[in-house]
Amino acid sequence: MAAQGGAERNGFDPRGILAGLARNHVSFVLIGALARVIRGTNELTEGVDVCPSLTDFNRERLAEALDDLEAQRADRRRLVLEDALANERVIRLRTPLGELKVVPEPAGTRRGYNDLRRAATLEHIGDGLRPEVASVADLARMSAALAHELATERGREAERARERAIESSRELRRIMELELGLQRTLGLERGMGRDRGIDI
Amino acid sequence: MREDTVRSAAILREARLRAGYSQDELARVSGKDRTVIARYEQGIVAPSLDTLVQLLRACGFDIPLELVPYDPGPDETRSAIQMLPPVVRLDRMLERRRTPEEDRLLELPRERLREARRAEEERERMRQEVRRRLEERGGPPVEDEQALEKRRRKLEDAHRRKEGKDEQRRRAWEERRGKEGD
Repeated sequence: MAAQGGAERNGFDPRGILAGLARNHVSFVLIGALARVIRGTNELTEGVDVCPSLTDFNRERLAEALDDLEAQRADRRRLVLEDALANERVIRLRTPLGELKVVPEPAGTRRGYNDLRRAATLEHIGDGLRPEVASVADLARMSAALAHELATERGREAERARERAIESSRELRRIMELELGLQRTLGLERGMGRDRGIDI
Repeated sequence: MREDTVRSAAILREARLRAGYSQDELARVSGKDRTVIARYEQGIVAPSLDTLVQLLRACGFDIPLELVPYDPGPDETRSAIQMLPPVVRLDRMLERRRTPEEDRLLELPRERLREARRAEEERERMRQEVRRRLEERGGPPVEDEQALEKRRRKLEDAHRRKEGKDEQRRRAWEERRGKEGD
């Protein structure tokens, strides 16, 4: 079945991709640039990055969702999801609605989905969608770990990716700073709200 | 993480990442304990200004300590974005994405690459054609690519010269006709 949802300008429709995953009841945490944008960074992105749960049942649902989204590998090879999930750090896919990256275990996390979902929150992003979005702290951690991994790689592209990761990490830390300031202003800092029956 | 430690934690982590050090390596270079560095980066404790400068220098960076007027610009943008709900943040990003015209401009180099590939394919096709004709004439098979390329060029030149001569003849004929008409 073709993916639903109105395509945004230039064919990138993140809501369409996320709707495809939601339609097939895939458990995942939204990560990467789109998650950072939802968390408040001022950047642009062309793709959707997700960290799926790796249970057998969810793998089946993910395979169905990718079929639904007409996803194909970016390198034009045949997609064998089981093999790709077991052997690849990032599965780069192309769909009519934009790029989709499936990352079983993002840099800086342990056991991917199980690690990220602890601090992830459900966010309303329109069209009735409420994906789990990785927390600011986890996104900062992933960016920092990615930058560290890229430090050993040579080449201009790796250098640029590393700079982007460092910039993201810095931006997310500033957002954390802002959020902590806001929480303090509202008296909602961890522990501070206990007297008022609020704990976050 | 404490509010008053986020800034030093962030700057220290950024310097370490830029230097490509792990926490262990930074500990070795700076002479500090790794656990202390980890606590600084996690924002559990804040380093003193002097310690921060020392660690940044160990990473190959320095932090200018001079008084400048406070500019709230980027912070205000960040605060404004923080006030928006996620759905609006996403819409805002999609609005800011490239226009079709910008997309077209970005596509130009790729188009040139495709053209170059097409030209290379055409050259290869011609090479095959030359090879086939030479083999049809009964000569030995041509394996040397350079020789093949030379022959292909020679054929192209001959073709071009012939076309040039035809064009000259046509012009001369037209001129003659024009004069006769006068």
